Amino acid sequence: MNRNLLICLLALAFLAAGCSSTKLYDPSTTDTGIRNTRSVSAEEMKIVAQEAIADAMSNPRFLDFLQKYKVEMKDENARPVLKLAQAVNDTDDPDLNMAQLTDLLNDALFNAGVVDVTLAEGSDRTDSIGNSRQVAMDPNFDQATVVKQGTLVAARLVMRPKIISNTTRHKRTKDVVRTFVVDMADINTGLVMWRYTRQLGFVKTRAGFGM
Amino acid sequence: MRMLRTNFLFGLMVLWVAGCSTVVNSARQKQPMVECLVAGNAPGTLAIARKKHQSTANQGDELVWLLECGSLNFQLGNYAEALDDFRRCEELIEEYDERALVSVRDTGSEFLTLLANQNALPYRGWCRDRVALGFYKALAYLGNGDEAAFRAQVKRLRGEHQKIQEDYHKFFEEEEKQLESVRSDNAEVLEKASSTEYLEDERNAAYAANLQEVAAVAHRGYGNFLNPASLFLSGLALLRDETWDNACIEFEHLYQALPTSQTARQYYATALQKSGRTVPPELADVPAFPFPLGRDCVFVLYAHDLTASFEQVNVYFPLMIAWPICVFHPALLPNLSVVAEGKEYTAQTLSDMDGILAQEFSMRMPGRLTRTLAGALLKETGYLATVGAVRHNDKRKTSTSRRRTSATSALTGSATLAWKMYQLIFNTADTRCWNFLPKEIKLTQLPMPSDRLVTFCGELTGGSPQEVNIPEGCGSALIYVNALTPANVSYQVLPLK
Repeated sequence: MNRNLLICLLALAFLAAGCSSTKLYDPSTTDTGIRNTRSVSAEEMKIVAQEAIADAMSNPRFLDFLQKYKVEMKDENARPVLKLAQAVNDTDDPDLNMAQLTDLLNDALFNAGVVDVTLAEGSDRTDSIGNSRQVAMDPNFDQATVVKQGTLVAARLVMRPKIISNTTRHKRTKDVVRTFVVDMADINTGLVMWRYTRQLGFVKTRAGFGM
Repeated sequence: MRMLRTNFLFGLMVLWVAGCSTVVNSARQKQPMVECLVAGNAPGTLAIARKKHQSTANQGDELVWLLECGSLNFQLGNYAEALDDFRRCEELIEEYDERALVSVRDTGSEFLTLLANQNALPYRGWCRDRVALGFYKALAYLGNGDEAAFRAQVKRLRGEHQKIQEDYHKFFEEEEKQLESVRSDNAEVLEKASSTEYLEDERNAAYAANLQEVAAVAHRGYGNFLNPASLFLSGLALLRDETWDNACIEFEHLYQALPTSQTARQYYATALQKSGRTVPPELADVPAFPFPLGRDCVFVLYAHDLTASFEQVNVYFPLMIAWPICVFHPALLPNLSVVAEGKEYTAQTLSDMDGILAQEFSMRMPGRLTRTLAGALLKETGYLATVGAVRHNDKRKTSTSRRRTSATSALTGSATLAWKMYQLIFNTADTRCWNFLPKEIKLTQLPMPSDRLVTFCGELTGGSPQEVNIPEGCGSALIYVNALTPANVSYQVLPLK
């Protein structure tokens, strides 16, 4: 009897060991706390983006700029156009994709009605906008609907994200610090009018005993 | 019969757990692949390596084949595929390195080395391989047109090199402790491992000669698992950013590794001048490069001939054991000169990959020898104990009947046969290494020619100069000339903006 039970338990253990599982979660509301020494996680970018947005919305310099911009444009609803500069990857992760960070920032600022975002210039530039103007001579198109020259709005603001990482090793522990820097500058003056810096770190300790 | 069956099942179990190179040594497994490359069929070679990689996936030998796949993909210009292979190699190495200090899997593997051989340990890569992995991965990013990723990879390479130095100092300390315990448990192992008497045995003459050759080549290594080619790449990334202060540090290390190299001296002197530092008297007569290195410049890396690899030989202690020897392949294509706008530039040695491997091989030899001897001795003891037990049984039963005695003798013979077969099957040397690396990496640099045309001359072109055109889009370029064998010469233009 005991032997049969043991065999059944072993068989179950084998089955359980061979089963992988998939668990769904919402990354925008849930943190997993998973960190990797070699690559920057989506969660780290999300944390930085959320805090950066909160910072921008309450930053006196940025709010002052928005106010002055409205006065300058003589329009109470005027919003500056934001373009994205090439992200600076100063980490040791060659496969780093910073689009998540910049997209979250862009989205939040855009949805809050603070800025307009351009796809006509900057690192997010898409050729489709320029290509649409090439159809001006194509008789297949209704020329009244073809966009005319001189309609694109140039960016007034430029945003440049940068991530720096440093790893320090001591005995069995690894200390990883990632510094996220987001700069926003006024293209008119070249001056930075908002800067956000956030450091995230973790310590990884190699297990003493395990598999 | 029951004992025989048990032995057979036990052997099968060890074979299954330990993996395939425990029986057929890696050099022998790789022979068709190497022959295919020498014949000039790089895609065919990749197909062989890939098939072997797939068959060893998630096993101890996966890394051995994956490294070959990565370098072959790089040579064939399949940069995205090469990057996939190299990423998986990094994952595997990290997985090994992150294992617990006392790991159940590692302990199991160590135990298996006693029952089988060194091949039961998962291949974790020689230090040379780990640095070369980062080096080729960085170049593959350039091939992919991603200079930002190249910079990030070079930064990783710097960290990796530091990690290797730290880890291996710890590794050697720990290994020394482990070996001391093995030696203290077994005086015979200690005596044999530290003695050189076996080298006087005539049967070991070839092995003794190889040891001397390895020692001579090992002197050409640079210490601390340093690879000057990776230092150059690091310096290159920094000078491209015009951060000459940092570049100066890398070129100082390069100069320390290659103090007599005119190229290393010139890079260091240039970095010193650019960063406004004092040039030491010994470099006072070394001129800085007369053209900018950070832009409109062509760097040529020449990787020629196959690097040293390992082969299995039998060494008699007098107990015969299979042991790896370092085989140095001949330099068939040692020279390269580049002509641009009528001016000739000769490639100078940057990295002696044979020297780096030979140095590491020599350093790790005492540990490997002790482990192998301990395993061989354990098997021999097992054999003697089995035969002794059968004979003892025989003596007890002599009085019963003659027929039974003859049956016991047959059993002794069978047990002997089974043990000898087991010993023979697992008498396999650990010859695992990264084969498709160059023997040497050479370097030259020149200003970007106005016609964007460079001509290569040397043994590799077979007498007719080879012209290479640098595309218009590249402000600067790194040309990687791959010449692992005379039948496999390729010129890869890696763009630098």
